[in-house]
Amino acid sequence: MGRVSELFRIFRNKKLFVLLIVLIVFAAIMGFSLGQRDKLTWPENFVGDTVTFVQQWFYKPAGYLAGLFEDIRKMREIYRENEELRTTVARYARDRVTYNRIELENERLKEALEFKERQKRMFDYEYVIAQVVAVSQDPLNPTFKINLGSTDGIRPDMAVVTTDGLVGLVSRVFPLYSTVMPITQLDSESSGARAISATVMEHKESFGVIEDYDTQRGMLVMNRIAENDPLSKDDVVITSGLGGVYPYGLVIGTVESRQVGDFGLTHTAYIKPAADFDRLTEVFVVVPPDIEEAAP
Amino acid sequence: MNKKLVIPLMVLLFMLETTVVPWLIPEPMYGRIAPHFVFVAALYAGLYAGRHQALLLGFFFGLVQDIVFYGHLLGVHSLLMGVIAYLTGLLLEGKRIPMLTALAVIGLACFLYDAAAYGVYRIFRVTHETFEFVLLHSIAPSLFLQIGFALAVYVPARRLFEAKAKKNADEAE
Repeated sequence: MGRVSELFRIFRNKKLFVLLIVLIVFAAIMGFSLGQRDKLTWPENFVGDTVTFVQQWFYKPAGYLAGLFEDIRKMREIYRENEELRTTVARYARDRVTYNRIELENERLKEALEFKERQKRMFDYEYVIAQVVAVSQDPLNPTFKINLGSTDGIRPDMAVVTTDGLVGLVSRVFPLYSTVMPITQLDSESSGARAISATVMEHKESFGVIEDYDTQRGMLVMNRIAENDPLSKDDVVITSGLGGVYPYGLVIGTVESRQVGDFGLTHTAYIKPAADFDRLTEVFVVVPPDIEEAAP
Repeated sequence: MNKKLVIPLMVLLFMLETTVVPWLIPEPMYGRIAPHFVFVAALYAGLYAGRHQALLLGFFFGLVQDIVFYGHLLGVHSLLMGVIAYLTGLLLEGKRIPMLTALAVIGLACFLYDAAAYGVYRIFRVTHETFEFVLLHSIAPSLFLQIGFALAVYVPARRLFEAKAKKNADEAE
């Protein structure tokens, strides 16, 4: 009896009671907002877009100023990079000739095999350029914002790439801006787990699933590689397009090491990401053709 | 300094912390150090102006941060910033607080904030890192930045919020 009245006394303390209610309300909000949401409510849209609209005036100039100092420091490095790029351009010009020939031939063969219009357009991805306008500094929620939103045809789960490779997935879409979740947040144990089905450029038949990021080593973890898979060190890993979320052929990284997996049945490989996730300024959103049709 | 300046200054602080500060953090520390400048300002409000003001500022700016960088879930920052700033005010409001105590309290509150945020993310299975790793990887280095910032703005922040508290008190009389 005494203990019960003690309990009531605690609850008569108004502050504690309010705190408890607040905790319960917030737990509900967090749980509700955790999963996939295609549309956000208008207060979220309003606050998100207004604040980001102001943020974009700061991020770019700051990046420009920082870049200026960086450039002076890295003059030597840039010289070397320029040399490298020159050889790459020469190689590109050569490959371009081959590419044109192969593309024409491919077109002709598709025609000959009577591909349907939808099949022909299957890999016609559109790369839409977007500027990064703000960066979240929460180490456990490192999203960044880009200046494209639902009015520009952006949908959740579209892949985001830089010129180097895959960076992340569009996470939440506001009318004018969207948040992007970098692939360093991949986690097979999380509630909204997503995985990238991947293959390698060198061997078409390779297959594995990238579903984790090892923060301590700074590498992506590719699981479920078959024992007799030809995948080996230094292979370039690309998306296979089989999962339906990521389009085909986006560069993810290079294989760093390969070993027998946790259960001994399949192999696991560590992948060094090709893209740099820090200090992004420009990214590309990969828009698949006719996403409405493609969605199941 | 006047009362109307608090909110514009904190908005400016929020803008700086999400856009300019990332460019200033050195390369190896990128993604590890998290500036909580707005939270530090809310704590100063709790120490020198009053707990209700701290609660409102913390909650409001936490909510903005939550919505703008909505990635996994909503509500972590608004809940924690509001509650911790309020508790600071509840415990220490109206007392004479010297600088070193203020810095120690801010350091402790920032640690609590980061640790609780980790706890929430862990409960909702957004992360599966161990606490030891997160502590060494990001919480500890960020703490230095927070205390450094708190030290840098101590004088203007105290003047701003104390003036405000005094003005409120005058109005009440």
